[in-house]
Amino acid sequence: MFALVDCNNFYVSCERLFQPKLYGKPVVVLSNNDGCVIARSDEAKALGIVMGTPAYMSEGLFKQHKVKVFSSNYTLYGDLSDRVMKILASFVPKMELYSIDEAFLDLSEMLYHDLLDLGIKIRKAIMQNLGIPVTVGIAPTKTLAKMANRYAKKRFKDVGVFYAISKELINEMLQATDVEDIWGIGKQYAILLKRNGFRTAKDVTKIPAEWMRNKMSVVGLRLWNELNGVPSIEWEYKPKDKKNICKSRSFGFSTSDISILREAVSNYAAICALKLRNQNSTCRYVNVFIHTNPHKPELKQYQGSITLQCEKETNLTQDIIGYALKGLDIIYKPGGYIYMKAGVMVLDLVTENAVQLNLFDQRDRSKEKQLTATVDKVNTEMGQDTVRMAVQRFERRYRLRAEKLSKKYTTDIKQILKVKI
Amino acid sequence: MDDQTIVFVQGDVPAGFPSPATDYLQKRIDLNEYLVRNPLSTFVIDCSGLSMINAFIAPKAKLVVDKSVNAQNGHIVLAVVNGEFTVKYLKKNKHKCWLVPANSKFSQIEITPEMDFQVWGVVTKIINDPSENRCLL
Repeated sequence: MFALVDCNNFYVSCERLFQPKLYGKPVVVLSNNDGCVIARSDEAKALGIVMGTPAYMSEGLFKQHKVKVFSSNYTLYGDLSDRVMKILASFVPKMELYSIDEAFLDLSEMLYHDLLDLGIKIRKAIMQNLGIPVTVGIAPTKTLAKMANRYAKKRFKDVGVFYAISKELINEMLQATDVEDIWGIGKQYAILLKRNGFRTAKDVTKIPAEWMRNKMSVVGLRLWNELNGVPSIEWEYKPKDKKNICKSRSFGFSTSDISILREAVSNYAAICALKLRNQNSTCRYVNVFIHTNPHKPELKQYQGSITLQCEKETNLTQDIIGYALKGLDIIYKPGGYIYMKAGVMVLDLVTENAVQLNLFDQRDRSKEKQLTATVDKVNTEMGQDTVRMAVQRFERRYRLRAEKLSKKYTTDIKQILKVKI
Repeated sequence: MDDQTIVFVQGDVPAGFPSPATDYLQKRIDLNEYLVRNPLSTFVIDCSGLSMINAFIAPKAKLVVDKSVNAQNGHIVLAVVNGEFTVKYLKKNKHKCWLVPANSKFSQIEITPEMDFQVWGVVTKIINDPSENRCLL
């Protein structure tokens, strides 16, 4: 048996925890740079605010219904997510973090537990310890657990737990789930299934296995097995190392100033380098790109991108920044272009110890590595970017827009909740 | 908060006599451990005001609040009344419930059914900083 635990409207729940007057009121959280709606309270959903809507398009609606709008506060969400996951970990021997607000629990070793009771206990514990509401779906496979979770939210909101224990309950749930709402189905396959007259998840379970394999390849077959109660999706107890790392952002404003672009690009490059080191990888290529605002066709448009090959695989901050800035100098076009986004990507990653030595290498790489390790250590102890390359500067002039950012209530002693008593 | 690294001083010295204290080494006192019993459910808040002065909460104080503790009669609690935070003694019997200040200049609040009331957490430690609460001598 598997359980999927999902925090309800997680980002909104985090904000409400420290601003309780927002319970019962419509609340939304915007993506980075205050771009789109990425989380909604139930009240906001009821107003017809759709996920992913650009914020500027909904401003009227926000004003009219007094919707409380937040910039995303990932420092806060990250800390609360970590707490949720650690509490979950105290209930089960094995779990998989699926996203910032979801985790799969492996219940196969909990044969003698009443799983419905366990689900209720988990929900209660997280509510009591953190004030975050969660929903639990329990079923024989991951896909069904995900479905059970969704079903619980729809049908048993107050209980918050659905345990698909019997054939009848699984069937009831399958019948109530449309094909496009099956986890991991993809748009194309959902259309294909519908065109062939399969409307619900229940219909899919009745399709012959042959048909699934022929029309939807092994992916379809795996899905079919999962829906029929045969676990076919592997467990990932540890997050996989990334194949590419990309850091890119829209600026909080538009600029034609190359010095601001250089500052942004070098900061993004430094983040990529750090991420590489954290997963013990090095990269062979560095890509840098910039572009103007495509939503303003009245302005001169330009998109530039270049990929440079590194002399040798590297994960050193100075190297990645060096290549990124070299690339930027090549693609930057002066003369009235107003840029709104830049990014750095590191590609073709190889694990650090698989790097080949170069006979003609002139640099003392072990020394540079030691320096970088020291800098990393200082930054871990003293805070991110305490020691940095001069070109990264301190002002963050390219900084994101985050006008409605709440406080870092749990990670910065200067920003903790203030109460007048 | 719970991922603290504690550096041990090893008793091995390449030359000379081993330290006689080696066998008696203990972990240095960790205030976090003392102040925070349940790191996962604990939050720190800043509070200001005089209503709890006789409960030893100085005009400016930091409070350690544990959400996992079940609020009992007599606990100091961080409560939410109609959407606003406050810190008071919780007084309750079988029928009624009050928020009681620790200062006679303030009055107690009786919790009525039409109020939106919730105990957010229980105050488990009070941190008063003398430098923030100077007394004029």
